[in-house]
Amino acid sequence: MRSWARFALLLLTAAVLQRGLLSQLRVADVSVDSFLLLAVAAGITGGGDRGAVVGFFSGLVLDLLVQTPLGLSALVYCLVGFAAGRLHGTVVRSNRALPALLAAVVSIAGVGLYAVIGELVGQVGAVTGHLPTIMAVVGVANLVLYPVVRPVVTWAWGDEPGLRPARR
Amino acid sequence: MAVSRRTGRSRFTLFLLILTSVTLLTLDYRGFEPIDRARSAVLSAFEPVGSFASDTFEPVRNAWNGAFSYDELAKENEELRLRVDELEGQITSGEVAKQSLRQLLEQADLPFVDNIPTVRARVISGAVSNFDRTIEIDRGERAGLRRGMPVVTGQGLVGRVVRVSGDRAVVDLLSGGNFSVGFSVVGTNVLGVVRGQGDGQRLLGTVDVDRLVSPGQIVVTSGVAGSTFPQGIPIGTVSEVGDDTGSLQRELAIDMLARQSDLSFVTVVLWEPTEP
Repeated sequence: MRSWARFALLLLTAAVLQRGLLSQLRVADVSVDSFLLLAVAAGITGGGDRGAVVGFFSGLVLDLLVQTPLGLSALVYCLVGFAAGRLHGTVVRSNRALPALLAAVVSIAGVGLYAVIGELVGQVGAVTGHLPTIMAVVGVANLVLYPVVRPVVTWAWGDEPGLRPARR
Repeated sequence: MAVSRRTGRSRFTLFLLILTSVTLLTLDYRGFEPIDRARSAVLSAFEPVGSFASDTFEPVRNAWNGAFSYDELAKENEELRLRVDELEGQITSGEVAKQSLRQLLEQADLPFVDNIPTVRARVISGAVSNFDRTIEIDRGERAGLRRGMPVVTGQGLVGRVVRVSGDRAVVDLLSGGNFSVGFSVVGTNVLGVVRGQGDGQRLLGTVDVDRLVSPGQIVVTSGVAGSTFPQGIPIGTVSEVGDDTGSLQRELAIDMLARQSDLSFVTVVLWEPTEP
């Protein structure tokens, strides 16, 4: 199976999970964002270029499921996927916990970026007093879930171990 | 050299993706019809999948809520018991209040929403993402629902239908702030516009600065010509009146009558705005 087909399958699974389960499992009225996690994981495992593409489609699927402006999630998640890949290329990779930490940090930044750009494009109430809670919960959730999602995303790339593209 | 070429290609890909996103944002902002159709198609496609996922994951959701919201549920249970006691004592006075509201609406020549056909619907899903302020209900085109129809509870306005498929519809909540509603203050000729603030029960209203409004007054949909809502749907009560700070508009804080959290059932008013 080609990697784009595997990612299509992953996106469909994420959509079903997000809609049927994850959006209902809320902590402090915040749910896990599986699409953001997918974008970040794709960036870290596949590099900035491929992370941006997966992030774009991941955001686009989310945009079609919700009522927020179409293209907003696609724009933010593509930047997040790109940033995750680029940043992962610049950090020392000897520490196994570092990618998960990076996933959390990039996710927090992604939520903040979403809120700011959202306000700019007319999404009323994106920047509220609840925003720090959303950032914190999504960050912690992605820190915990990244090690679970990483092998699945690596499978989706279909690269042989050791033959992944050089990180920039 | 190779690295430079790769970096250039990488930036080009990113640029193309950003450009596509911005184009989509622009088209959506301008109300590009195919985008609405695509969203409705996704809603239709997810009807069976969503129901299956919802049923399958119900035990997990219940376990989660039990584990993470036990204190909250216990507190809510206690509050509900108190509320039941309180309400039992207030049934009579509630009826009186309802009658008073009806009389006020009649005096103001506002037809009550009871006169318009309605459809009751169950809320089957809340917001999918953390910035989405919508709910999904189990009635759609087959039950007569159309885009733009008002959605209410027994207390008042909740939102409006924004997407419809055969047996599903998505309701944009008033508190989300994605649309505004024209209102009138009951018993007066004061008109204004109210909008959600993204979250919570409080709305932000504006009226002309020379209009007198007092805390405690009830606001209802105005239904003036070209309005997207019929007349007389209760919205909320004025809780604060802003100072006159030299502006042409005075701001009002309005507390919604209908609770937006924990919605289980809603009523869709089968009313479509008439073309001006």
